[in-house]
Amino acid sequence: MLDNLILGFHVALSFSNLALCFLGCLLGTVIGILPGLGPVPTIAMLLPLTYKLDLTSAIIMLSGIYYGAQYGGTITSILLKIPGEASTIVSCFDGYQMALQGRGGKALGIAAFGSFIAGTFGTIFLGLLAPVLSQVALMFGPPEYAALMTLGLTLVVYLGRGSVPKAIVMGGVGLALSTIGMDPMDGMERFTFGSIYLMDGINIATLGMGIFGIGEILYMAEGGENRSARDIVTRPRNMKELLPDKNEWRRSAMPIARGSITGFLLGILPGGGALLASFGSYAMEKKLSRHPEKFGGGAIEGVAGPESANNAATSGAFIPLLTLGIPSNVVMALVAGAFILHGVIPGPLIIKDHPQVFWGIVASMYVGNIILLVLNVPLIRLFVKIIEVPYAILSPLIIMICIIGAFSINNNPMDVLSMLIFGGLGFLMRKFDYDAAPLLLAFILGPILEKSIYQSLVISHGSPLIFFTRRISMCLVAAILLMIFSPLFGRWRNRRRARGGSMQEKPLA
Amino acid sequence: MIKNRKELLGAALFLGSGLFLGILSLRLHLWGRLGPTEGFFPLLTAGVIVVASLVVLVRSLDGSRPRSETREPLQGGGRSESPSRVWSYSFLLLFYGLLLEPVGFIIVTPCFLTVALRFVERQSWRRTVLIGLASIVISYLLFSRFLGVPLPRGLLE
Repeated sequence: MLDNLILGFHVALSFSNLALCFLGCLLGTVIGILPGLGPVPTIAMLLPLTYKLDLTSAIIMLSGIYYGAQYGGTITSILLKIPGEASTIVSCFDGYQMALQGRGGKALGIAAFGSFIAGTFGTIFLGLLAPVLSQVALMFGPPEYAALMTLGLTLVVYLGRGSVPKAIVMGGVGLALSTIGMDPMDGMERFTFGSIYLMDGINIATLGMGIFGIGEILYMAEGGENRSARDIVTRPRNMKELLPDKNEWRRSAMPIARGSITGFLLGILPGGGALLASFGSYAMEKKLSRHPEKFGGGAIEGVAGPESANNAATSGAFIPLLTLGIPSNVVMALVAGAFILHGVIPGPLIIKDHPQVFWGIVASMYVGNIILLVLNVPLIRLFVKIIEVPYAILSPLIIMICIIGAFSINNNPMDVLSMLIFGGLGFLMRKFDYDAAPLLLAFILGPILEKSIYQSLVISHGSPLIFFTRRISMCLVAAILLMIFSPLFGRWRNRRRARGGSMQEKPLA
Repeated sequence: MIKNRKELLGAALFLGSGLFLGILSLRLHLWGRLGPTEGFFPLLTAGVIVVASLVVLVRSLDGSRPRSETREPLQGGGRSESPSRVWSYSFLLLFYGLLLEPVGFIIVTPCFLTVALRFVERQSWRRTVLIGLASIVISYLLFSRFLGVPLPRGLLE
């Protein structure tokens, strides 16, 4: 592993990759500060630009944006009680209270240091676990892949936000969109309506920018959202105000350690990621605390744990992508898109066939954590000013970036039109309260799932029993069925208990 | 009731899409000598969309409230809707997208930013001009020079 890490650092510390990592962290932090915009629309908007970069550089920059945006969201959560990103909602609970008490700088400081420690931990574990898991993944055949993709989609549907039937609809729409173009087995045209443009299928960048960029802008435009400058509760005046004291470090040490482990493990789960990690960590710290009544009133543990967890989750989220080729959340789906756009299929062979890519990414995550700490701690005052930019100015600028980005994919105005159509879809999805995450994940997994199902059925001469007769596939199918039926069983059992309880209360005749 | 009408409309829209996909899939070959062919997977997908949309539709007709996303307004207070801004932006987007290549980035982008900032977002002329100029220069340098993205020259060719 040491040799591989040296290779990785050699790649990550090249001038161009360092510059791109820095740019990614800076852009991510700036965008993450803006409420409503997080890593997903940012990565979607910048995805076309990574065409011009080589794969390693592209992933390094996108990763920088990802964890930069996490920290950017934390800044607004703590100082304004406006979560910049979903996973930073938890920081509003105690972080904002700390800011009201004049300790906003300490909250930001512990979030930065906690994120650095957790990110370092996550990176080490990624380097240790990924090669092992990729060996396991090589035992997977088409039935195992089909079952694994289905499990991933099921987890996203059941663990994600919003209603389950709606999430299933979105998953279905994503799978349907992935079928446009050529059939993966026979190369037959499907749903192209005679259009040469559609023969190549839908481009992930236009889909992502449309739904998350344009769709979001149209939704904000409809709501007439025009943030006026809010009074910032407390702005840290100097570096000293950002450094926690001895007592605060002592109280934060174990939450950071626990958050790092929890976050990393939850980040691996499809549908989990930073959101689940931050909420899970908060709940755990409150339960373990000797003074749970202090949570919600400015407990530093309530910031240290969740912030560490959400950063560790970003490292954990890379594991399924780099070992199994399965994105565990929307951001990873877009990163998978970047791999595919560069002609590399993410999966277990990445470590073997492109070791400089894998180890370069691992090393750059560690470098990125250092850059974030160096960047954010002194520049917090500057970043806070960005919050004051109203949406009235941001919206046209974001549209401009999206349109240039879409055009730059192939210098084809059809890509722009495609993005605008998906923008309309994204707007309608927001209006009707449908979460876009299952759609994007299903879109990425669709071609692999379809190919795996076809190959499995060809191997078994059309019999679906192949999914139940192979050991690994059978375990995965059992997990899917458990996920689907356990909530239904729980509801049935509760109804029986309620009926049993009401019968016992009936007076005897 | 208003929320249920939205639920109903959304479910009907996706139900219709699922049925449309199903009809298109049935026109393709579903099964060959060795196994499934190009129509099989889309038909399966259409089935998933139709069934799930029906569940949402039935729930919305039932009046029951599904667990919805917690997308609370980011700032306090309710959300007042302004469809005219959506239409304004939609037309602007369409014109910007369609004219970018034939007319060129340098001409179309300032026009778009001026209309969007001044007339849709009601910013002052001073702000509109300053932001517009800065955005165009920065984006030209960033995209064209730094990232090597060829921006369309259009009429300036």
